Amino acid sequence: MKINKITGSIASAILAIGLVTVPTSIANAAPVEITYSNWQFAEPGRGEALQKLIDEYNASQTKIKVKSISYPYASYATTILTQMGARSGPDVVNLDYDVFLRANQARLVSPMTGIVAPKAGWASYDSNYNINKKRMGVTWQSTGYSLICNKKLLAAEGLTCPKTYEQFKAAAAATTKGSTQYGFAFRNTMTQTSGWWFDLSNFVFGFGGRWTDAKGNPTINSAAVQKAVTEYKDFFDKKYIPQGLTATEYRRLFWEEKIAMNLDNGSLPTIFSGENPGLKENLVIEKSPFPTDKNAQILIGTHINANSKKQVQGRAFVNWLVTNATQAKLMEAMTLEAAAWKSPPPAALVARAPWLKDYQKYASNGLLVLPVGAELATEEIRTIVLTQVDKILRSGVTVKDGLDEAQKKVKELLGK
Amino acid sequence: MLKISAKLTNWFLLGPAFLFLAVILGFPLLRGLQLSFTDTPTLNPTESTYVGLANYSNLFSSSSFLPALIVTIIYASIAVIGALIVGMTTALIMNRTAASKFWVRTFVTLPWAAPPVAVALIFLWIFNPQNGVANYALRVLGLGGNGTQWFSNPSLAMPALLLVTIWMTFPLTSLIFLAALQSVPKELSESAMIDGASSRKILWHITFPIIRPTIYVMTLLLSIWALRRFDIIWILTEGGPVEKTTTLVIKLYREAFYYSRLGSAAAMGMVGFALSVLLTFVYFRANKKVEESM
Repeated sequence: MKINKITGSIASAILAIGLVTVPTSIANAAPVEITYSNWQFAEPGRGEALQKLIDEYNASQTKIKVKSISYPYASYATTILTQMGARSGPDVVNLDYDVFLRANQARLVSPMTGIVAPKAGWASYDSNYNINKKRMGVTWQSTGYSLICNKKLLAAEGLTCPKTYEQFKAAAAATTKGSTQYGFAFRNTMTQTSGWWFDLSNFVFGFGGRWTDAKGNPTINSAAVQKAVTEYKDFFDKKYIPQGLTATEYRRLFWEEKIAMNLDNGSLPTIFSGENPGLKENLVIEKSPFPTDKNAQILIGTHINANSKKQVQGRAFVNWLVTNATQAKLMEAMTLEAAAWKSPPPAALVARAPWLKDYQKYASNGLLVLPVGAELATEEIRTIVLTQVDKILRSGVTVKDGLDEAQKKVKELLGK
Repeated sequence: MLKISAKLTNWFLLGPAFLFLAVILGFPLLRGLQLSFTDTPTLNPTESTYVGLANYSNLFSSSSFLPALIVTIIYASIAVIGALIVGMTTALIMNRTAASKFWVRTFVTLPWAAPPVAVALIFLWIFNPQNGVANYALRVLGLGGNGTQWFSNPSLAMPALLLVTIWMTFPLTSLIFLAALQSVPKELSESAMIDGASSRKILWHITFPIIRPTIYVMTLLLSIWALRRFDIIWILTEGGPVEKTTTLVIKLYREAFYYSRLGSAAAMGMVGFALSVLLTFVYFRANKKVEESM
């Protein structure tokens, strides 16, 4: 009897302590940590600005804390997709559009229910993330390719930033001075396939070519693509570009004022002028100099990992990202010309980074570099085409033979 | 009774080692074999169906498999022969005189001690077409070097890759050979010398036969390492230019992690494993013949 009394007292005491401490522990609960991956954390200048924005978010929160994760761009997609495939990986991820499509097909990203649209409304390209009437992500950044000129180097040859292809080629020839200065630059090695695809696509789209037709049939050996690759090879053969260099290496040459022109996305003028502030006043932006107005377009989205155990917190973070206030701050921090909302960059930002206005002006010329109708095979098509272009550039294979071979292999791949 | 108890004790003592091997080696191997008969995607490993020998038949009928196999064999053969020759030469020099001093050995060991990724990154800088030391040295010597693209030129990529590989692997070879050379009884070479044998004859007829088992083991190990080498090839060339350095392992990596075809990649892994087993078999046969002839 006595034992029962003692047991009863202990149980009551435990219950009482529990009733008092549980609500207190809920109130004082440590914030839930979610991981967010983005390769841009590692970018010079912009990485720190992005981290500052995340720190600001963390400081404003009591329930969620965001931990940033970064991998170099070259290995980012492979690393993140492998982690996600293994049912792990970051809770919230930034992905290039083609990588997102692969992840989405493998059901590795969650539908974003309950995401509130920014007051300014969604940008038009944001509709790419509505798949089967479900929102599978939000735009992080959209940027096209434009011609970035160093007007000082061009002026030294009596030239201005070119507006036509003929002027562009002549300017590249005039500003190339052996191996000490180059007229232009693009990626041309298999260690840079992802970026090389964008650079080559600029030529192809600019000459009116496409990787596939509207029905998804490959058009890799079309007359327009052949013309584009012939011109691309001409730049390579005449050494108007530094052969064998990575984008990191030739972008450094650009900010060291050893390259006169670079066809690159809207993030680059920020990086160039960040690394060499003296260069800022010499930067002039023109539309992509090819015969047609089309150029490559980058679309980056933010997504929630389907296997994340912190879906609610992930969505809360994304909801914060797309508010008007955060969108404005994000544009400011990352010097973006276009994000998830449809508002243009704030006036103060444009005053600081005037090139954003130019990039915005040419935004409608952008095309995603995915082969239409064969988007999920982008990675393989890219390897097939670039291997043949590598042969055309370096092994004496003719443009026609190389592209015919690529066309044959892609047709086999797609079963066309 | 005592015999049975001794046997049980043996099994009991060997058990943990067997268990360790089964978990660390046996399970991944069997899992790899099982995967090779499925169409498992890397992005969704739980969704796989049995496809029989389809991965193997696709692999052998693929137009890119044979070139990759040839590149693998060329790379492995030259890397092994190069490491053996440079390693042996260094070991012979170190075995001779004061060159075997501590600092020399430490200096020779350094490339092997360095992590492969760091080695690859250093060589990327050395062979940089624009600012690399290699091109600078060639320019100073008047031997060209004007923007030579070591890792992007189809004729130069494989030799440059082999140079890096041999530089990285020869130190271990030389240390092992040095240990073997120092175990050769001095009396044998001294008596041969008294009988008028030249240094070359002593090397061929006394030293090499004694250290032959070590050479065989090193050949086997270097070959297996070369067949499965990934890190430096990926960092330096990613299999390019024009697939001149695409070995089976590089192809396997692309297949698994770029194209998300884990099953097909596992089949490639099994082919690589079969090659290693074949090499080991050849090694044991050769070793047995040597033992029989002694």
